[in-house]
Amino acid sequence: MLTSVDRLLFVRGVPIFKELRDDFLVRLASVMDELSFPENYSIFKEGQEGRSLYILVSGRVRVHLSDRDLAKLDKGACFGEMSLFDAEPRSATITTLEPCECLMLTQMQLYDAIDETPGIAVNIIRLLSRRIRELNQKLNAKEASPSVSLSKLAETR
Amino acid sequence: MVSGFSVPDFLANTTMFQGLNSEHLLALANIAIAQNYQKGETIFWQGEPGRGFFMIVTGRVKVFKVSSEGKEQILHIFQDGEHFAELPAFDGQCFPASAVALEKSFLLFFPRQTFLGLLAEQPNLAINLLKVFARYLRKFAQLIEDLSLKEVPGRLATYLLDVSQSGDNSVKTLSEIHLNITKTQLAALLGTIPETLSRVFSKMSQDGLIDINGNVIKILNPTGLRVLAGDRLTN
Repeated sequence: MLTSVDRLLFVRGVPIFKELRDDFLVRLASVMDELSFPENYSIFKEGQEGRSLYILVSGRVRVHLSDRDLAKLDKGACFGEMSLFDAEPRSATITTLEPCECLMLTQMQLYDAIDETPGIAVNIIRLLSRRIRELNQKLNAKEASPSVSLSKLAETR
Repeated sequence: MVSGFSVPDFLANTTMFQGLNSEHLLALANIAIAQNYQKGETIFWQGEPGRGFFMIVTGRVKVFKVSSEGKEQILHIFQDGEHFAELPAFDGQCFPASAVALEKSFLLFFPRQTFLGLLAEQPNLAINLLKVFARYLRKFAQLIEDLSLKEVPGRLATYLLDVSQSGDNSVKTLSEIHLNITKTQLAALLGTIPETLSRVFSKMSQDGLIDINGNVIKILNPTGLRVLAGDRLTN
């Protein structure tokens, strides 16, 4: 069983919640369920419709497509965060490598929290916009760089 | 104003506000400010404080950036029913680009503070917006990964060639590399994520350029790798 402080720390580790107001974080952390999974269990599978976010409290999981491993995640990692807002099919399978404990937040729980405290949504929207802006800048930089290396090449010729 | 035009009805048909009930739509209609722009008129300049966002009832708006050399780069052209500039409205930063009416246009302007105030009272509206932004985020993240996918093979090839050529120069074996960093660290080094790196390794392996076994990488086709590395070879 996690203490409320432990929960708070784990929830703050989720990228979209990183700068969420403390009282909002506490609110979300308090409604999350703690789940235990045995070894070699698929928490969710590629293609499934998902509406929940998971935070790995202990254990290790692998992120994979059928038999090809994409990554391995440790304590503190979160997966499925974007599915809190839409119900896109899961882009990969998450399978436990050993017995694991997770915190889970469902879309329903988030919406209930927002119903009571709409400020949570406004806060998250702000964070999402900031992230979009950062990605936008990253995109602009990437699109600009091919021309940079071409011009450098031209200078050397 | 076009006679017989109902703001709530118009809003109900936009992607941003679809699914909202009539009470919400009315509240939104009440805070919206009708604005008319002539062809060629500026709506806002890049760098101005983001004072709110806009929705086009009728017309066309060009959003663009001007480079330091004065070259115009069009980012997007928006039409009837579309919204723009909502990002600065939310994060309070400046407009990242400029907007100009391409033809006579009738817009609805939603001032930032009033809109945020409305969101704070209306959970359903806030949730709707969450979905809109999440969709944008996914779109951008995908675009970046697509771009990465194009660049990562070249960068990885350069990295592998560099690593194989460093070390003991008396033994010029271009053939085998032992990675002394994790794949996660390598992904970050190459400016990408582990999933993309994994795909790229897979493809290189399928194309017969390398053979990968854990963190031991055999270079099967050094010439092929050099071609992939292209103009990124260092001295």
